Amino acid sequence: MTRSRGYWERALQWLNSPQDGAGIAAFRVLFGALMVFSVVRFWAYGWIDEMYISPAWHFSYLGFGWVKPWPGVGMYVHYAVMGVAALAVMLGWRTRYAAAVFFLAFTYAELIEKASYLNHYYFVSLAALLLVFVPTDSVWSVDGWLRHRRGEAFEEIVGRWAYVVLRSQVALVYFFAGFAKLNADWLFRAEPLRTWLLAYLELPVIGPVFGYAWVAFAMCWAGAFYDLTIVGWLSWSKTRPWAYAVSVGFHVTVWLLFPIGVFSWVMLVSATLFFAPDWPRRFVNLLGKRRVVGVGGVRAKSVFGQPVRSRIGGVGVVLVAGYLVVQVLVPLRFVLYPGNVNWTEEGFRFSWRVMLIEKTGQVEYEVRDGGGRVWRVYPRGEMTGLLYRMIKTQPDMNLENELRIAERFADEGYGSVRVYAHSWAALNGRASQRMVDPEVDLAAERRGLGAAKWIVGLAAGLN
Amino acid sequence: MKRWIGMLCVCGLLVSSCSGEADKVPDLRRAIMESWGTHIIIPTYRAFEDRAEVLKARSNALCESPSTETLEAAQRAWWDAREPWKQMDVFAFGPYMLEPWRVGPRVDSWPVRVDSIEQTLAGDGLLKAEAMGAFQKGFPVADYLLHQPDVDLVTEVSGDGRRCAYLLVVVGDISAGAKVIADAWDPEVGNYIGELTEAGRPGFERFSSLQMAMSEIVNRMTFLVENIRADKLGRPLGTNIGGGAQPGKVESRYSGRSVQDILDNLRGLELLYFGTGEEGSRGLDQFIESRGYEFDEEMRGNLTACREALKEVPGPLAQAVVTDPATVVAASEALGKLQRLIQVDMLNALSLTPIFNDNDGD
Repeated sequence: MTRSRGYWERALQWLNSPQDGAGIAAFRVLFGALMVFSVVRFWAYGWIDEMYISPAWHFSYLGFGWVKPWPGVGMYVHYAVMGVAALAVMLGWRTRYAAAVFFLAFTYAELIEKASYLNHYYFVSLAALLLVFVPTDSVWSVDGWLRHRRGEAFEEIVGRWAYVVLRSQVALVYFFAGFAKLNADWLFRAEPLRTWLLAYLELPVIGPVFGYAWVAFAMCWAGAFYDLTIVGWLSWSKTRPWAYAVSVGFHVTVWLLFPIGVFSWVMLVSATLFFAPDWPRRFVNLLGKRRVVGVGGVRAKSVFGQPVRSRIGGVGVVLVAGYLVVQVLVPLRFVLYPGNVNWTEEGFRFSWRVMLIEKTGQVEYEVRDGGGRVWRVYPRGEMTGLLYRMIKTQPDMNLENELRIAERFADEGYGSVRVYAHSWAALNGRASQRMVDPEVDLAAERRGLGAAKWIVGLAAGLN
Repeated sequence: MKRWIGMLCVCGLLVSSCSGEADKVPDLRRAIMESWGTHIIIPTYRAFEDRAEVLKARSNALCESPSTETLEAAQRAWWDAREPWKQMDVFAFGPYMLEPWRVGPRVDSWPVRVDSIEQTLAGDGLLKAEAMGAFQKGFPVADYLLHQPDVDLVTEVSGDGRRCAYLLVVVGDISAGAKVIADAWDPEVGNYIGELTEAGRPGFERFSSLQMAMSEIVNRMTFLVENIRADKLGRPLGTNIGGGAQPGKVESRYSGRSVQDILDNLRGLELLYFGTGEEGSRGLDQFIESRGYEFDEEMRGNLTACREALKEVPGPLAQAVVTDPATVVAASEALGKLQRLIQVDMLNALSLTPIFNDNDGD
């Protein structure tokens, strides 16, 4: 008992040991800047209207059907608030409140439309949530500057736990992204990367190289190895410069080749969390003549002499551990569902399964009423291009659409109808096959977390 | 820290090697789209222009000398002008839909609205194409004016001249529209074909890359087949309203050309896939083959099955949806298989799914 208490106390001591706050401050500044850029970009491209205002209805997450777009110009106001909050995070002004506002605004927007789900949006939500609790305003922040003006204690240090939490989150993203690549399509067929690379044969110099199958295989294996091990290489000081250089090469190449928005930059910013905590000071010192000092510099003694104010206690450790356990279990939930997760997409979202599938589909619905009347519904004309693309390949959204069709018919006075899907899809170069059992009346099904028995399993054959 | 800077510089050099602008590197996609322009799009639209001119001339002849012979000649000209026009239905984008051309709605807004035509015929206002709505002109109106059943058309056109005047305005506008769309695509005039073959290069920003341009066309192939099923067959069958045939919703209702229109649609699609067979003509099949896939046999089989199923549709479609709807449903099912081949299998093999906005591939 005494020994375990000793371990616990030593762990707490280790978690609260002083670290330079510059590292996570740099993360906050860069993350905030990226989010400001993202909001401006989303607005400028007209996506607020396209995503939230134009569609007559939205696909919702289970249990979040109540999350709706604001009326009128409400979504523009929403994004304005989000942008201001991101700016405040970047500047470190009312940092935790700003992070909370950004988290709520961003997550609300993402919850409105399931079809807009992207892994990096999910990561942004999680990172914003963590910034509410992790002390990131100790250095290079308006909050810190105001405290200094008020003559409050100089505090440029944070407890080690702040780094541990953020690093753990990023490490989980990389690990599960690599883990998801350990499948036959990726490792032994180099799909879908091989097909995607062939689209870039026109690029000068490097383009023709993509025509070789071995290049796609090499990139697949290297990509899986990178995702699974990069956290280790970034954490070890001897390999860190090389690891970060490889990261830059990896993420920027991916950004150039594929339309993944700010994802690459978010991950490059996140990778800096694994640097030595004082890296921003050394970086600034290297670039400028003015010496920016802190922990490890001339003020080191005075800094280390002060207590860490943002300490984590036992309850905090338990909460953080619980959060991380959830973050481990959620990506693993796919094992609870039968079939290939890349085909059924049950347990696919929130699991860091990135760039794994090239999926195309065709869907139309047969509606039958009690009087023997039959309707054929072609959904393309009823929704935006994005929604149409998603329902063709994602079974759960397919079901949601069929329930909506049944509701619509009921509203139009046709009473209770049966809805059957003629849904076909192809995954990673395989021949097309049925995705949904055409004999099942999906209007009688209910959305839920259980395995969908109406999804037809993936056949093994290849083209 | 210097080591860090060095690493980043090396990395930047590596990355920059993939970031160069796509320049004058030969690309099969470009070659295929150039071939489509040279062998299919431009000649077919020019053929449409010529045939529309013939339609105009024969309509003039009908009005100048009304007789059964001149009427039949005008009807044949209408029928013939439809052939190249319907073969190009797959290109229902760009000059077809966009301003300042927007030729599609101007020339072919269907199904025909008889009330609107009769109103125009009964009125005494100036007959001017520019002042007419899309449903007051174009092929469907000419179809009605030249093929209206239960009416002695020779007598009609010999009457007070209002029907003839209307017909001449309509066919004149079809002819003008044909020239507009042919010129718009022609590399020597509007050069819209450059938006495909030079996609992504300065001055050609409609599509961000050759891949996106190619994606547009192959996706249009799937839209075309689905439109045939949903609009050309489904609506007349009444499947959008839960049964009950709607013969008034067929395309080319009065001439009875509905099924031939679909066959022409399929011919256009076939040309894109296999090329014309002329020397230097390329088709999508070559691109698919270059990607290591083979769909030629399936494509041929599906096209044949569709044509055979359409041949089984007895008489004009407007009649068949009432008397023998099962044959129309069978044709739709055959077309559904063709749609699946293109929309699911080909798009997957070629990764030509249109991209709405940023995504991370999941």
